[in-house]
Amino acid sequence: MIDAHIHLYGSDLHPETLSEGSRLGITLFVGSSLLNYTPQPTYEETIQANDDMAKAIRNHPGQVEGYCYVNPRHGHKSLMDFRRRVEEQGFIGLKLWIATLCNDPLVFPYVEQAIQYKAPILVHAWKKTISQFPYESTAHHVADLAARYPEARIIMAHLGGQMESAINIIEPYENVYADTSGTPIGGSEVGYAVKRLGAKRIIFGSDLPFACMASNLGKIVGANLSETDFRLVTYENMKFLIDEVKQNRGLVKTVY
Amino acid sequence: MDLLKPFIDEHAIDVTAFIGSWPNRLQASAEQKDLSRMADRYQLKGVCISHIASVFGYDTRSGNEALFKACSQDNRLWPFAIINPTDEGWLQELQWAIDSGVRGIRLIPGYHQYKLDHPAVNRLIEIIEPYRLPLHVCARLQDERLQHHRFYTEAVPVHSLASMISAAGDNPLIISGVNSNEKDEISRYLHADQSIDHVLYDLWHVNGPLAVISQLCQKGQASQYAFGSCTPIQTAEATILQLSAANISESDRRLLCCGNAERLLSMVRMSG
Repeated sequence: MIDAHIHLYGSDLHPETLSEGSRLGITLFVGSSLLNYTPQPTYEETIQANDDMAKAIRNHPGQVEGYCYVNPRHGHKSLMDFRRRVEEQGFIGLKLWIATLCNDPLVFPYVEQAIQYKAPILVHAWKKTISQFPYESTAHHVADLAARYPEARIIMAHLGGQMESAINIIEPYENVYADTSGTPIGGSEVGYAVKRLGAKRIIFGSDLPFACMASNLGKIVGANLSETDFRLVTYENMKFLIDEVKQNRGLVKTVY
Repeated sequence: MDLLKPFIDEHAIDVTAFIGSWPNRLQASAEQKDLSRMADRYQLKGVCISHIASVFGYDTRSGNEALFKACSQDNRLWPFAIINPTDEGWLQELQWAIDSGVRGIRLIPGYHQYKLDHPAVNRLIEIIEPYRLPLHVCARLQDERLQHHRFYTEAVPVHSLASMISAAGDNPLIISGVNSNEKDEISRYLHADQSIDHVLYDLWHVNGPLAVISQLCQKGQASQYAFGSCTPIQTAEATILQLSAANISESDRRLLCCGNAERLLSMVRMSG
């Protein structure tokens, strides 16, 4: 299985990541570093975060893949970092957190670059009843981005937070997947999302280390999916996205 | 299902479950046969159930009557009546529940909008204490971020849960729906001499950080927690897989799945 949404713990994997994964049958972890979880990281902080992620990929070959984390407010230099990470360090996608809304025009150059790489874009998205961050995207923002860029491969994280409404909003956009990661374990949510979107658009992730890997996999187990759907959600969908970006590697080269 | 076998083998007790339908999540719903099927599937020894209608209804009695009826169909389903000690007639309803063979009393102060230091809560404890009837206090039933915005309910503050531990004397007490940080925070409010042998925390909201179950066992807290799924509001398998896959000793797994709950629930003295 593939855990498609993890984070580093400090500057490396949480020490329990691989052993816990081994107990559960999870062999590949796709993640990003958000460094100190500052909503508006400086350019230097994103560089540090991505350096840490690159090191984790190097230290755990075949077990870890990485997203490049950007703050779109940093413009061209940050875009260049995204290019370097994908073209030279083997990163497989783009991670957007809460620095800007995901449909802010500042984000567009990154999305256009990701399209060229066929790289997935993991968007933190959460509609919250309380504690919403100022630039925290919701399914509406994801849908708007997906409509503007139908070629983009977008993963809406956390089932969009408030799952039922989020799923309704992204349902028309075939280029949007939803990941199941996070601490919430709401009853029947994963099963409902699979029923509405189809198993091909749902991806298992945990959001470790702040969320528990087993708890998150348990949400998928509890959805009572068919064997085929379970495999799509826990492996094949993310494998497809990773394979696509890897097969495309080398075809798009930045000229410095 | 192999992943869940270590849990199934323990014949666990679920200290926190519900029957009925959650009003703003159509799919979060369980009838008696669903809970019996869950007990079959996971070889549960017992499931401590309350009715969701007693959370949201104009009264608690309607839900409690339906609860007793459902539990009479399967002796693994144990009724935990929800009582609102600020409602008119709660004393009579409590006595009726005791006379009807209730296995525990559940309080949901956030949803019923009272504080745990309300004098009626102390009165309730005085009444159930001779029976050593487990008192189950729900700090929350959902992550606050995901509550319906028109029906928002505050979580019960941790300091009042700490006060509840001393107020309960040595009566069995289950605190439901706190995470591991909140549990540690509760401990900080307790007097150094405060016994916690009568207290258990359930696990449904202990869903982070990574490997949290093994961490709490390493901290020597294996005797302080019990399996509670909060099904159907939450996904039971999330907590079940945590217990199944945790890198802990078999004796700790047994305590968490069953042993602690069995110890606490066996304190009951139904003759009063």
